[in-house]
Amino acid sequence: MADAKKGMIKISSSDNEVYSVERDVIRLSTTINTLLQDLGMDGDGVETENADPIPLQNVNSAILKKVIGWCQYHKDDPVPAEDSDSREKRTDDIPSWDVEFLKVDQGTLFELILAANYLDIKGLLEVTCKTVANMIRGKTVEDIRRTFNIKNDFTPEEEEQIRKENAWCED
Amino acid sequence: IQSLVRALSDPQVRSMRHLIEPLFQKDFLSQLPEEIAFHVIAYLTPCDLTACAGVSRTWQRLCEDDRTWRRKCLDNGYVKPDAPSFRFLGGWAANRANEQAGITIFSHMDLQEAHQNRREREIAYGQCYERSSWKSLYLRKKRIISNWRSRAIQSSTVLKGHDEHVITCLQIHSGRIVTGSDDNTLRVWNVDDAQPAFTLTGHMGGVWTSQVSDDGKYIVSGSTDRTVRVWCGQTGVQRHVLQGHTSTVRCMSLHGTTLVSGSRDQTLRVWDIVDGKCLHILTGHLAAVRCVQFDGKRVVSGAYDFTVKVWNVHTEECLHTLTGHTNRVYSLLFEPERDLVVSGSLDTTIRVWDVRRGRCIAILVGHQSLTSGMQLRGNILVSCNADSDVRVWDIRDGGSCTHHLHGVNGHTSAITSLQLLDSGLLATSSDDGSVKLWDVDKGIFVRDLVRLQSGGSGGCIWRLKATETLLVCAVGSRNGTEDTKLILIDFDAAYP
Repeated sequence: MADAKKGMIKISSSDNEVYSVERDVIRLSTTINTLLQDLGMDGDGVETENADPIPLQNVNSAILKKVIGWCQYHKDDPVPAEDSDSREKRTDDIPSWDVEFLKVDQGTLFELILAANYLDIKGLLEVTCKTVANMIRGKTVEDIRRTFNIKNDFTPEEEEQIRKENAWCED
Repeated sequence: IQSLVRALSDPQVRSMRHLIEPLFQKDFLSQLPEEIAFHVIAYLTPCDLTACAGVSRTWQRLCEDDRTWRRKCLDNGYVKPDAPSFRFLGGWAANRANEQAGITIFSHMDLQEAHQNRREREIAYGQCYERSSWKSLYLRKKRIISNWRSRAIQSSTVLKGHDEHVITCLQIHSGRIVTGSDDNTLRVWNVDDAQPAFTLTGHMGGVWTSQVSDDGKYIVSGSTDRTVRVWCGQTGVQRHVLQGHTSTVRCMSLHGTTLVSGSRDQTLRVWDIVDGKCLHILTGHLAAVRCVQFDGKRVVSGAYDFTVKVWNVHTEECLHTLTGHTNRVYSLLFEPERDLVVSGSLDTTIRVWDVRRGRCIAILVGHQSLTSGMQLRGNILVSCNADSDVRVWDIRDGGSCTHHLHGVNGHTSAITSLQLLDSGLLATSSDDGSVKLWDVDKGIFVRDLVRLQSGGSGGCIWRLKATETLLVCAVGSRNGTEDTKLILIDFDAAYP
C-alpha cells in the first residue's frame, strides 16, 4: 500500500518556484490534502506526475522550502488528537529536531506560522506557536518589549495601574 | 553589500546593526491573525499573561480576553465570581485578637496598616474587574492563597462564650459558626459582624456532637443526656427531642434530612429529622459506637469493640464487619464513590478498607498513638495524631507514608484536628496551643498562624475549621489558664 502512494505532487510558490513532493509528505497539509481529494487526485494509481502544479499564492519559495523540509521529517508522525483544547498546554515538549529547525530570525518564524496556518499543518502550527510562547514566558514587561521591539503606548497613569495589578500575581 | 560592510568601522557596523535588527523583529501577537495570537496565548501561564497585558494596548486587549481567563479559572476549579466577604468593613475592627489577651497571631498587620488596607478594599471591583472579570477572579484567588501562605494577616477577632467549658464540636456554615460544649448548650455566631446570634438550650448534659444540614435549615446535636435534638438553623428554636438511646450520643452523620446517631449504648439509630421519627435501629456492635459516616444508603460505624461495621440502612442488615484493629476505633472516612473507608484506631494504625468486598487493602503504620483526624484527597491521605505528628500517606499499593510533618517547626503536643485547604495547604491545631500551616504536596512547614501564650501551661486549641477565606479555632484549657473562646482569622481578598 505504501508503494502505491509514492506518487509525486507538484506545488508552486508565490514566486513561481515549482517543487515536486511525495504525496505522503504533503498530506500533512490539510489544505492540500482536501484540494487533492476535491480534484480527484487522491486515489491509488491516479497519474499526478504530469498535472499542473498546485499554486500556493501565500507562501514564498524560501518559506515553502522550509515547510517541505519540516513535513519530510514529520511525515510518519502519529496523527495528533482532535481535542487539542482539553490537552495540557505544555511548551517544554518541543522535539529537539524542531528546536533546531526553528532557530531562525523572527521574520522567518512569523512567515512559517502564517504558512502553517494557510496550509493547515497542525503540528507545525503547534510548535511554532509554542516557540513564540517560549520567547515570552518568564519575561518581564521590559524584556518582552525589547525582544519584539514593541513601543510602550500606555500613559504613566495606566502603567502605574498595571504595575499594581501585576503585584497580585507575585507571592 | 559585503564590501560595504567590510569598509565600515566597528562603531559604524554596530550602529548599522541597530538599524537592521528591528527589521527582523516581529510583534507577533499584534501582527498575527487574532485566532493564531490566541493560540500562542493559550500556551502562556497566568503570570505571563499578566505581564503581557502591560506590554502595549494591543497586547492588553488580547491578553485580557475573558475566554482565555475563564479557561484558566476553570482549570483551577474557580467556578464563578462571587462577592468578597464584607467582614473587613469594620465588623471585626473593634475586637482584634491581641497579645495582651495572650494570643499571638503571627505577622499581624498593625492597626493603622489594617485600616488603610480596609479603606483601599472599600473601593469595590476596580479596573481589572471591569476589563476582564475572570482575570480579576483569578488574581483574587491567587491573592487569597498568598494571604494564607505568606502575607501579613489583615484581620482577626475573638468570640468569647461557653465560660470555662470545653468546646467539643465546631461547624462553619454559610456565614455562621456553630459550637457545641459540655456546658449543655450550643451557640451560633455570625461571622461577618463577629457577634453571637443565639444559644441553643435544652440539653440536660454536655453536647458532644453536632451537624448542620446542607441547606442550613437544621442543626442537630447529641448529648450525654441520651437525646438527639433538632433545632431550627435560622432561629435556634428546638424542633424535636429524639429519644431512644440509652446512653451518651457520641457521634452523628447527616445526609439530607436523614440522621444516623451512634451511642455508647452500642447501637446506631436512624432518624427523620423533619418529623422527628426513629426509622431504624442498627444493633450488633459489642461496645460504644465512637464514629459514624452515612451516604444515604450505607452506614459505616467504628466502635470500641475494635471493629468497623458497614450497614444497609434500609434493611438494617450488617453487610460487613471489618476486623483487624487491635484497639478502639476513633475516626472514620467514607468515600462511597470508590467504596473506600479509612479508619483510625488507638492501636496506632490506620486501615484502608474496600467496603464492597469487605477487605482491608492497606495498613498504614508509623504513628505512635491515637489518630484524631484524617482527610482524603484522591489517593493522598493526611492524618494527625496524639503523638504530635502529622503524616501524609499514599493509600495505593498497600499504602506508604510520603511525608512526616514534624521536627523543629512541628507541634510539641497532641494534634487535635486538621483541615486541608484547596490550595494544597494543611492547617493543624494542637494541645500545644498553636495552629500551623503545612504544604502537603512538598511535605514542608509553611508557617505558624496562632500561638497561645498559655500553650504548654494548659492552653489548647481544641479544634479548627476553615473555609477558603476563614480560619476558626476553638480555644481554651481544662485547668482555667485560658478562657474558652473562638479565634477567627480572615484571609479574604478583594477583586483587583
